[in-house]
Amino acid sequence: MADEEKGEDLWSGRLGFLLAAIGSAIGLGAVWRYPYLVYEYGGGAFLIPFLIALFVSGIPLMILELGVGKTFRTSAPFAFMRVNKKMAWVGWATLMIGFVIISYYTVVLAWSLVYMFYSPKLSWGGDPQNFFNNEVLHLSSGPGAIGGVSIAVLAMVLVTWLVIYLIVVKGIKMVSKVVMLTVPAPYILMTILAFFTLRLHGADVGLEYYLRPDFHALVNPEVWLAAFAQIFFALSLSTGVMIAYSSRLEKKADVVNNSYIVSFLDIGYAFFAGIVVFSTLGYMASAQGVPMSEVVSGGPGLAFATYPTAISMLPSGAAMFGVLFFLMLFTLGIDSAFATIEAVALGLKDAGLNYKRMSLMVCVLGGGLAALFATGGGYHWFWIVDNFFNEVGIVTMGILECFIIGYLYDPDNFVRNVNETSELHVGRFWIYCIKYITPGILTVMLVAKLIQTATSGFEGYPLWSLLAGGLLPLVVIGFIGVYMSRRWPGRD
Amino acid sequence: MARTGLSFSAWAVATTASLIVYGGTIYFVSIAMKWRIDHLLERLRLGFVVSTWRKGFHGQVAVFAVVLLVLLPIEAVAIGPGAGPKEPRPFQPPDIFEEAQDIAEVSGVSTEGGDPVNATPDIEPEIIAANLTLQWVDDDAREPPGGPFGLTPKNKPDTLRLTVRLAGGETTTGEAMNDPTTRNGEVKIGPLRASKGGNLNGWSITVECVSAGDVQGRLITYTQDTGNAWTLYVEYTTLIAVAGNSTQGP
Repeated sequence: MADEEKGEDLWSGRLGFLLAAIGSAIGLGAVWRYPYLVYEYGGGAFLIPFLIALFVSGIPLMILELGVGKTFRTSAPFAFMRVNKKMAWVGWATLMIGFVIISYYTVVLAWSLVYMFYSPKLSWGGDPQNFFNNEVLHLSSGPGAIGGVSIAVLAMVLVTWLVIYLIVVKGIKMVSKVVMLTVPAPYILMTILAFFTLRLHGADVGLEYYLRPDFHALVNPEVWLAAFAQIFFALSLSTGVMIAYSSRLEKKADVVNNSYIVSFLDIGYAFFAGIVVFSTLGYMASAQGVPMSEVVSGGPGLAFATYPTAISMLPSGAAMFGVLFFLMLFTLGIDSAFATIEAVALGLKDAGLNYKRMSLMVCVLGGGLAALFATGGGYHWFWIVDNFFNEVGIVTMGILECFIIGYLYDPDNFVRNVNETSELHVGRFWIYCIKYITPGILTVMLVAKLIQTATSGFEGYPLWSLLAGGLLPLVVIGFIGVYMSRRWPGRD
Repeated sequence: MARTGLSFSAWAVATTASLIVYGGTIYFVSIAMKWRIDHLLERLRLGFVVSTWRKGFHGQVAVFAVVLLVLLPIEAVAIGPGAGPKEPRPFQPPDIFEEAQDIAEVSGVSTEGGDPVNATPDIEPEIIAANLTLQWVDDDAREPPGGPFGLTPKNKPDTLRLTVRLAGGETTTGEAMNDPTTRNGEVKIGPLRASKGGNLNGWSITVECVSAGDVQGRLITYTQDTGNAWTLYVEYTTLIAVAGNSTQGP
């Protein structure tokens, strides 16, 4: 598409683009996954493989995605189509996988909103885990039982999707305005929380566990694999967002320095979040007189069971702390949500479809799918789908992206194009990372995941549910991607 | 947070990570914003640092490394190498109290015309708030002794009264009749709150049967239903010391 045609789509300035990209990259994992991994894999020593992974895999892949958008100036399906017509399906599959992930991700945002309203009265009482399971999730016995549904959660799911629609339908211009609020907000809220938590008794105990290095952990290959996986997921790569966003940059836009800024701010936030999380957990462990291992957790359990427990135990300001914490979670996640939906809508727009109509359709479909994840049985599907879509689907797309640019496209030409307008330059090292290191490590991650699932299953869920919620939808998405690439062969 | 609570190794990691992550962020943002860091260094009259910085990427990394090498020994002297807890320290409570919720359960039997039955639960910590729920299930009229005339008898509902008398003399009373269909009865009192700085300990709770309700047979009415068993649930909030040497409330 010519630039003049989509002039109204272009970012008005570098700041808007950077904030949108940062907002998309930083997600809930910064709060509930990264700190837990640091604790689990060597404390401060984990930063060594993590930073190495950042430089040899995370930033190179970020440069690749921003470079693809900038070079081809269109969404992922049509960018890959320009490289090789048979590869357009990879772009469509990437967007669809991102769409499914966001459909359950918005349920987490809905929980955050619900908990924000529960916080003033600390409604979770003395047993937050039980409250989360029964009052919020209406958790069923397994993926075969649909269970009940919380009207409050359902209502907040709809509110979240309405917010996403209202942002996405107005396009890039609206996104650049919204991110001025939603991207700084979690930083500000986290800073307020840090002032609060660092003064708590026992905060230093938690921080000691978070920061004290255990260098013996570095000889464990699992630690290195976890570091590379975390970098990959933390930067929200291979969801099509970075390609879509950078395709709307002006021609002279910088790629390399933008990649560094987005990546550094992303991991900077995660590192900071770890300080807040672990000072709170340290207080909790000290107050209960139990070892840290008994209070440390990750995932939704940290946010919606452990944290409410800690909030209830705070000596003062518990309600305010709760409201700020859950508001922070919501603002942290909403950028990633609307960025991914925007990427899908832009992909359909680049196929020649009506943008506003497609935005509505995608949000209605997403809201419907999210409503299913909001049921009591939906929580089981949440885990199954997340396990496969993130660790199999997204990783596969990452490998294919590297393959398309590293082997099907001329990487030297790509580097020339990227360097042409960048303040910092990339060279042979970047090509080496994209051709060998990043796809190699992603392949090891993928194979390890598949072997683990084939031999041990996943969290005890029955085989039929793993096939129905994981492998089968991924295969179907692959076929739909092939269909879409033939249905919309692109236009110049 | 006590500054000396962290070991030197933890401080070193925090410093190094912060310098790389946040120093790196500022560095890349400075490039985007076209801030001239070397000009700033020049103003600070750091000639050697400026010339190193201007040597390009490697020179700039060297400047970061030197900053780190200066900071870490300062921290080592200030904190003391090897300081800080290796394991979570034993709990050293400051004077902080928190609210805790719990439920006490008292059961008993009250008879019509009998004395009120004491139902005061034995709770040691200071109670600052409570909700009381008295529950009972009326007897089934078909239970013995149904009698020869009680082929399809109906047991009229019972009425129970719950009375709470606080140490200061203030009394709260509630009474209710059970549902004739389900036979379930319930009386609720609460929330009761202690005045500021006070507590509810020293209260007296009693349950009495106001009316047991006769059993109405088809041909004759008899009075075997003399009272009822009940259970009182006291949901209470106490102040417990989560920290501090005190074991009592503030």
